[in-house]
Amino acid sequence: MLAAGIPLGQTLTAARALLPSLQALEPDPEALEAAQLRLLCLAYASSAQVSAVEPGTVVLEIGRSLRLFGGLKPLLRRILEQWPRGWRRQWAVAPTPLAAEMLARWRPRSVVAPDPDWEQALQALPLELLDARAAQTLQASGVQHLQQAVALPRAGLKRRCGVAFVNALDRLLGQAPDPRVWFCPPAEWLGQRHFEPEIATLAELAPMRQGLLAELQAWLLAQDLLARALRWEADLAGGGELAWETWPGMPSRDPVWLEQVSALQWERQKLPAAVRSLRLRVVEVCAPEAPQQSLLPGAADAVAECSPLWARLAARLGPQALGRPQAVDEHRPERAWTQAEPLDHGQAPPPPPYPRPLWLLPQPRPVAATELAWVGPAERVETGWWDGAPMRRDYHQARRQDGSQIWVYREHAQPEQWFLHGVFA
Amino acid sequence: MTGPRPEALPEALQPLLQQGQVWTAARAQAMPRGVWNSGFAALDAALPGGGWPRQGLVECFAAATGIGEISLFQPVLRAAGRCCWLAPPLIPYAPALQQWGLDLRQQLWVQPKAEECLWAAETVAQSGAYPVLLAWLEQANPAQLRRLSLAAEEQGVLLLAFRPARTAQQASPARLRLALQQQQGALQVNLFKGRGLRPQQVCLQPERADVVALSARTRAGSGLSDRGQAAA
Repeated sequence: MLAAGIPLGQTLTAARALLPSLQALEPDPEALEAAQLRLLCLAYASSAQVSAVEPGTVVLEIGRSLRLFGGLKPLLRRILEQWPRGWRRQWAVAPTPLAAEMLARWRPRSVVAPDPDWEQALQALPLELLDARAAQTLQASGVQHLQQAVALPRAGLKRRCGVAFVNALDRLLGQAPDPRVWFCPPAEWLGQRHFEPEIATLAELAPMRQGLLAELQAWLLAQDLLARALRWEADLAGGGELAWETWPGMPSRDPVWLEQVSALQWERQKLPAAVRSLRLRVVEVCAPEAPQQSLLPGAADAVAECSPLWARLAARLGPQALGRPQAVDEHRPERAWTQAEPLDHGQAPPPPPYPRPLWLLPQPRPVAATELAWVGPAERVETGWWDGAPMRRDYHQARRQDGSQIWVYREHAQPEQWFLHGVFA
Repeated sequence: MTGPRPEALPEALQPLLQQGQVWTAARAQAMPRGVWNSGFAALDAALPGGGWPRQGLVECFAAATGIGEISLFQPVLRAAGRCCWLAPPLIPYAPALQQWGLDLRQQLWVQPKAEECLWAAETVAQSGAYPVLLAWLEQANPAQLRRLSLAAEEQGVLLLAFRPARTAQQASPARLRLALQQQQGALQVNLFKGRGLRPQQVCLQPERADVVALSARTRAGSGLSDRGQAAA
């Protein structure tokens, strides 16, 4: 642009005359808003007092964060590391928000400590940065820098440049309060992209997903949450819709990981039509767990080693296809087990003192007793009379003619009918 | 057992060797990760290397369900710690697993749809997170078994594939293939094919649930917590 001789602020017609191949893009207020939200959220992760100045500019009160993050340098590193890749940035640190904003525009990367005479650093600040109209007025009388303006009598200055300018001077130098509207991250998050023209291939969608996930990461950081489940929705050109949920297995806010898991699902899709817009919602969130010092040596390692696998499996097979057998303290055999989450670290009750079969049938099946040979003593299960599901059964181990060993029972109420309930594999 | 060194083989074979399409017998029989003790002296003596391999595919063909076909591997499951149960035919009953001395927290139970089964098996094997993977593979052709076998070999996973008896005649890349049947109260293990194996039959009396249950009460209890007691 600049290479073609088109300065900023040029009208479109004049620019086209200079560069006929120029492509003009409409400003996208939605994208601008999303970017601003992402910026505010990222800043909010390092300071509770964050305020938007204008699109693309935010101020942070860092005085209270300094101790938490171990000083100015670590704090700056933290903020700058989270900065989105590819976004240009200018920053400065100063005792007042307005001074910081001016410095960031005028002398980026300067740090002004709150010493008694910190205003010295601003002496040569060009006035047009602060107020373009007032600067023009003052320039006629040879006043260009802040120092010169401050030295002028206040009454005259107020009359010539307006109250707003004088107030700005006071706020800049910390002589007047500078109240700001502090940012509060939204309770709900929704990311979306509209495509013009529509996107027809999955490969082109991947960068869009990554962009949405990066925005989501900022929001999750600001809220100090992790995503447990995401929901993707795509509007199609023909009017149809695609939608599914992504369970990353282990809660995360890492856009790389979330994209890997999402891609597993997307890659299995065939796009029935071009995609007109893409939306991303968070279905379930959870708070990050403080790193726990496990009492069991190796338990944390096991989780770290297995989590990526669980996540991959859950993403493709669905979360309900994944679990671990868990024992339940209950005498009724069909209630003595459950399927727990693989992450579940709940203790199991001690096993019953009588033999149990490795395989349990989901539903007991009637079986003819004539071909069975009994093995070992019977076990009576008589329980549950208090909760409306009473059980009075005699369990036996038996051997079938093919040599297989099974677990059968009969109800006291119906002693002639045997049921197959398990197999000793 | 040491065959010719790979570089001593004819040049025409070299590309095939490099692509992994042909193995030298020495490499195929090598078990760099060692073996798991089977828990039965007679079986250890019959198995190449002196136990179940710690890597690769082992195919089991059981004549019926309930003849002790899983009990046979009880000592391995206990020794391995982490086990993944992929598409078992029935519910793996938690109290029984406890009686076997397994830590329930270390078990993963995956129930994919039939068409996702092979994908899941490969994913688990490739991750290497579970040293023992028990998989019930109803339908798998030799090429698919080969993929699984390679993943298991590379990651050091013992993939125990329980397959229908009718598929025993299929060609297979398995490290070891065995057929199980019940004979007069004993489990007959027919080791009929394998790398470095001399085919033979072994008759065993695996620990059945009733025997284990009695010992489990004092020894294993609910898994890891008891190790602490044992140490104390």
